[in-house]
Amino acid sequence: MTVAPGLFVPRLRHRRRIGTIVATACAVLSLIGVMFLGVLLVRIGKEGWSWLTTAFLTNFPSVLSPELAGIKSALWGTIWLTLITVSVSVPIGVAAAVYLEEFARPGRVRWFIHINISNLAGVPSIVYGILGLAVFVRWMHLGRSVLAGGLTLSLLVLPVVIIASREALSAVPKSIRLAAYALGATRWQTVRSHVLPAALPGIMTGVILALSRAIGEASPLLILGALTYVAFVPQSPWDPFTAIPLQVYDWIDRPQPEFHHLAAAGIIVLLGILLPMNALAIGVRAWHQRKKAW
Amino acid sequence: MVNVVGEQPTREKSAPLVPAPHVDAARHKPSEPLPPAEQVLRAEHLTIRYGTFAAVKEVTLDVSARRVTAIIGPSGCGKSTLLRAMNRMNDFVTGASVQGRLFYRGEDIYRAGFDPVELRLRIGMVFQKPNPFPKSIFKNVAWGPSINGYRGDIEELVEHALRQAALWDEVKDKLHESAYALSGGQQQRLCIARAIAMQPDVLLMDEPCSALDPIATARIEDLIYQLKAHYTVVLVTHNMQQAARVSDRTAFMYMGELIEVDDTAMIFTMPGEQRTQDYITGRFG
Repeated sequence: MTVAPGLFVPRLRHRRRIGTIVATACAVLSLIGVMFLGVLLVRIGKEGWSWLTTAFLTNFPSVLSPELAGIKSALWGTIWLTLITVSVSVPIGVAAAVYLEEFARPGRVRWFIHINISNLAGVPSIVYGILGLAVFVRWMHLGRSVLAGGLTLSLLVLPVVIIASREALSAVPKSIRLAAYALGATRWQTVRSHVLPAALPGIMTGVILALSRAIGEASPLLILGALTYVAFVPQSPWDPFTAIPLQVYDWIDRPQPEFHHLAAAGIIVLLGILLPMNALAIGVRAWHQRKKAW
Repeated sequence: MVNVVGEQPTREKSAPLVPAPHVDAARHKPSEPLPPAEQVLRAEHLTIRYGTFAAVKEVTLDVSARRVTAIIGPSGCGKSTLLRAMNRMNDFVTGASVQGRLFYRGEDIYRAGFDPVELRLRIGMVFQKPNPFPKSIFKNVAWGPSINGYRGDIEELVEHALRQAALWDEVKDKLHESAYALSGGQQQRLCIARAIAMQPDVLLMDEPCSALDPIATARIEDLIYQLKAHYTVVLVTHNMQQAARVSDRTAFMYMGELIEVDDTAMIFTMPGEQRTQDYITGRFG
C-alpha cells in the first residue's frame, strides 16, 4: 500500500505549545508545595530562633516562667522512644519481611497477611494509641511509661518497616538466590549471606523514614495518657515521659505569647532531628543506587 | 542403556549434512569410539509440567561420566527445563511439577524425602546470564566451599578453581575487588570457577555463552572441553555449532520431546530422524 504524504497533518507548533503549557503548569504546582514549606520555615524561624538557646535544651519546662523553660525532658523522652521503637520494630519487621518474602509459600495465607499489613499501614495513628492504651497501659500494666509509648509507636511503624523491607528484599535479583542454591546453600544461608546484605540499604532507608514518622507523632501518645508537663528525665523504661511533639502541643495550647515562641523553638528542635534523618535516608539510597550493579 | 561400550555406528557413512562446523581436529576425533563410561544421570519417562503445560514429555535420557552431553533444540523445546530438573532447580519455579523418575547415581532425586541441598553439592550449575554475587572475586569462589564446611586451605582451593576456569592470570592481582568489575566473559568464567570450587560430580550449563561475544564464547568452549577430564558436563545450547564443537553426545529436543540422542558425530552427519535433520540443516528453529 502506498500512503500519500498529504495524509499526515503533524501540527507540530500546536503540539509543542501544549507541551510547554503542561511543563509550566507542573512547575508552578510543584513550587506551591515548596512555597508552603518555605513559609512554614520562615514563620517558625522568626518566632522561635531567638528562643533557641543552650538553656532551652538543658532546662526543664516551666509553667510559671516561660523565659526559663526548656525542652530537656521532652528531648530525652523522644530519644528513649526512638531507641525503644528501633529495637522493637526493626527486628520484628525485618524478620516478618524475610519470612513473607523468602520462606512463606505463595498462597492464601501469605496473601491474607500481606493484605492485612498493607491495611494496617493506612490505619490512623490515633487508633494505635487506643490499641496501646488497651494492651500496654492497661492489660500489661505498663502504665503511662516510656516503654508503653515506645511499644505503641513500634506497632505504628511496624507495617511500614515490613513493607519497605519486603520491597528491598524483592528487589534483589532472583539470579543471585539461584546461584546460591545451586552451590548447595539452604534458604537461610542464601538469605543471610546474599539477600539481606544486598537489601540492607533499602531496609535502612525504610526504617529511617518510618522512625521519622514515629518521632513526629503526638496523638497516640496523648491517648496513652502521656504527660505534657514533666520535670524529669526518664531513668528507666518504666518511668513516665513526654516527647517533643507533646511538649509543643502543650505550649501552643497556652494563651500567653511566650509559650508560642517556646513551641516554635521546640518545632525547630524537632525539625533539627528529622531533617538530618531524612537526609541520611536519601544519602543511603543514593549510595546504594551507585553501588549496585545488577 | 543407550550409551553402552563400543557401540558402533551402524548407519552408512554419508556426506555431512551441516556445512561442516569448524571442529578442531586435533582435539576432537569423532570417528574414534568413545571409551567405556559409567552412567551418572538417567531420566526415565520424565514429564515436567508448568501448571497444565507439559514442557518436557516422557523423556528418557542417559548422561555418562566425563563426557559433554549437549541438549539442543529450538527455543521453548524444554531443554532448559530438563537441565534444571537435574539439580532440582525447578523447585524454585512456582507451579512446576514432575512425573516419572530421574536418577542420580542410582538414586531417584524426586522421591519423597530426598534432600535437594545435598544433591546440589554434587551437581553444580552455570546459568545463562553470568550471575556473580555482589561480592569480591575471592568471596564468590570461596563462599560455596565455606558454607559447606570445607576444611582445607581455602586460598589454595580458590586459586585452583580459578586456574581450572582459565581466569587466574586475569584476576590474581585483584581477588578482593568486586566481581562486577569484570567483563561479561570473565564473570561467566568466575561463575564456572565458583561451581567447580565445590568439586562437583556433574556440571550443568544452561546456555552459558548466549550472553557473550564470540571471543569470550570461544574461551568458554575451550574450557568446557577441558573440564570433561574431571567432570560430567551437561550443556544446553541452541547453538548447533557449539554442540558440534564441544560435545561427545548430543540430544535433540523438540516441543518437549526427546527426538533423538546419539554420539555427536552421528547426530551431525547421519541423524536418524527427519526432524533432527531439518533442525540441524537450518530448515527450522
